[in-house]
Amino acid sequence: MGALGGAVGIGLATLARSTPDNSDALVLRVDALLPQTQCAQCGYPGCRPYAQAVVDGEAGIDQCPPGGEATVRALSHLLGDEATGVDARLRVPTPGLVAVIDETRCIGCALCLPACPVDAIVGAHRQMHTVIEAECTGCELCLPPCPVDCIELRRP
Amino acid sequence: MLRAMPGPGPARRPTTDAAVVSQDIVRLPVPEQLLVPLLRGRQRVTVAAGDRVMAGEIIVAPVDDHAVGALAPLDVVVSGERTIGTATALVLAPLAGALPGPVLPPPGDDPAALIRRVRAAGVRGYGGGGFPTFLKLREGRERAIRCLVINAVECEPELASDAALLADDAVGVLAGARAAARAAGATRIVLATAHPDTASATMLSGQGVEVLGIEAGYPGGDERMLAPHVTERRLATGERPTAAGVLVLNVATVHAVGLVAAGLVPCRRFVTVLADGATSRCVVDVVMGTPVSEVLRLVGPAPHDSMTSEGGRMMPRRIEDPSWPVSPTTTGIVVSPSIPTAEQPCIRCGLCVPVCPVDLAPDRIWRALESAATEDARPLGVEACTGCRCCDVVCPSGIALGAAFRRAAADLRESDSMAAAAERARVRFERHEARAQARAERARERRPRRSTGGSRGAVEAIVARARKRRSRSDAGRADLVRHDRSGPGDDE
Repeated sequence: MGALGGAVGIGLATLARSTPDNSDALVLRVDALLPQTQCAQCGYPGCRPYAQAVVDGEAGIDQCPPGGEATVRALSHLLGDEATGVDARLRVPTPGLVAVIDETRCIGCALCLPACPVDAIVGAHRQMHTVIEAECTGCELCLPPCPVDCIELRRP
Repeated sequence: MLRAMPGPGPARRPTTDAAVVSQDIVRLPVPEQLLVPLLRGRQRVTVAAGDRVMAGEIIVAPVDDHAVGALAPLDVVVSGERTIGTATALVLAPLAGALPGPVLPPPGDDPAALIRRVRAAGVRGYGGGGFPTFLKLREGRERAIRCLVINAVECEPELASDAALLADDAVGVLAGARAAARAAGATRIVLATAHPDTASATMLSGQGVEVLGIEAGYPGGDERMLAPHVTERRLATGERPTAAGVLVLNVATVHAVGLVAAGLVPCRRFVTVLADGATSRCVVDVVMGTPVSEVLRLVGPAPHDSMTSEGGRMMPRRIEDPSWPVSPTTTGIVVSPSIPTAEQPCIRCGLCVPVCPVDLAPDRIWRALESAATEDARPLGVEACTGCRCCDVVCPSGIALGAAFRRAAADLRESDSMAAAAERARVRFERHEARAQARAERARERRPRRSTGGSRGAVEAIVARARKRRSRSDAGRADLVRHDRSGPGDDE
C-alpha cells in the first residue's frame, strides 16, 4: 500500500511540471502560446487559468479548440508531452470569425456587454450595442446571453 | 569609369543596349477603354457610371493613410466597374480627340502641396514595386535626406523601358528630379545608370546632376544596393535607404513627379515587350490603363501553352486575365512558354549561397521550410529576402526558392500580427477580470448582513431576501445562462 502511494506520489510529481520556484515563469510561457480567445471551452475561465492547470498537471495540452493543432504542437514542443490533436470531444471553431450585432434587432438590453471577456462590445442600456471588430476574438460567449439572438459570427 | 557592384548576381553581362533611340519606340494610340485597378477597401470611386469627367478631375479617393487616389488622365465618360479575376477596375471610355495637356494649376513650390498632388494622381513606383511615391517623399522629408538618386540601372535582363525614357525625354526627367528633390528636401541629385556615356547622361551631368556609372549585374538595381554607393554607410537588414540620408526613385517615377509638378496627369509609360519567338524585343509607349491584350496584338497571337507576365524574366508577376491593364508597375510584358517545373530534392550543393545579394543562406532556409519549421527561418533572415530569384536560377534541382521564401515571410508576418492581437486580447481580459472582481467585492459589501438583534430581525431579513428573489424570477430572468463572471444583476 505504501509502495502504491509512493508510486502515485511520484506519478503526480512528474505530472506537475515545475517546482514552486519556476512555476510562474512556466505558466507565463504556456499562456504566451495560447490564442487568448478567453472562450472557456477548455473548461477553465480564461487562457491564464488553463495555462496554470496545464502546468499543475490538471489539464491536458489538447483542450484548446481555438488554438487548434498549432497550439497543441507548440505546447508539446515546450513541455515535452505527446499529443496529436485537439481532444476530439471539443468542437474546433472556424478560425477568423468575429461577432456582429444586427442593429435592426438589438434591443439595447446590455446583457452581452459583461459577457465579452475582452470588452469588445461597446454600448449601454437602451443605446445601440456594437462589436469592435478588431478586438473580437470570436469566442462566442456573447451569443447565449442575447435574448433576441441578434448576434451572429461572420467573416470580418 | 564604371564602378563595379560588389558580390553576386548570376547575370553579370550588360543588360540593355545603350543605343535605344526614339525612332525604335512604338507609340500606341489611346485605346477605346481604359481600366483603373482599384484596391478594395482602401480606395473609393468618386464618380458614377455615365459621368463625363474632364482630365485632371478626381475619380478615385484614398480611404486609408497609405493609399493613393487617381485622376482622370484624359477627358472620359465613366462606363462603370468591372471585375478582372479577383480585382475590380474602373472602366473609362476616352472621348474622341482627347489629348493630355496641362489641366490643373501647378501645385507650386510648397513641398506639401506637391506631395498631396502626387498622392491624388496615384503616382506609385514605376520600377515594378508600385510603392506609393507620396509616402517616400514624405519619409524623405521627415528623415532629412540629403541625396535623391534617380534609379535608371534597370538590371532586369532585356528590359529597356528606363533606357527608352532617358533617351526620349531627359529634360522631363531633369524637371521631375528637381521637383522631387525640392519636395523631399534633397540638395544633391544623382543619376544611377549602366550607361553613363549616353547623350542624356551627359546633358544631365551638365545640369548639375552627378552621374554614377553602375556595372549592371542583376539585381544591382535594388535601391538597398545603390544607397551605399552615394553614402559611406551600409544598410542594416530591413533598413531603408532613407535611414542613410538617401531617397531612391525609379527614373520613370521621377518623370511622373515632374509631370504632376507641371499640372499634368501622368498618362503614359514605356513598356518592354518580350515574346519568345518574336524576332526582337519591342519597346512601346502606351497609355496606362490599356489592356495588356491590346499591347500583345503587336507581337501576334500567343503560342498555345504560353503564359503572360508583367515585369521581366527574373521577377515576373503572372497575369491571369489578358484584359488586365498596363499600370505604373508594368515595366515589361513577357510572353513565355508555361513549362511545368519538376522540383527535385535539395542536394546540398551550396551554389545558392554565393549568389544571394543580401548574404542569406538559401540552403539553410530551405531546410527549415522543408521541415515545416517556418519560425526557424526567421533568425536565418528570410524576411530580408528581396525575391530576386538568383538562387532559383542557379539551383540544379529546380526548386522554386524565391516563391517559397516569399510565402514564408508572409506566414511570419501573419503569425506576428496574430500574436500582437492575442497580446491585446490578453491585456483587455485582465482589465475586464479586475473590474469584475472589484464589482463583486462592492456587491458583497453591500449585501445585508444577517441581523443579530433577535429572531424578529432574522426573520425579516430572510423574508426580504425571499421577496427579492421572487421579484427577480417574476421578471422572467430564470432562463438566462449564468456563468462565472458577474452579470448586471450583481449591482442591484
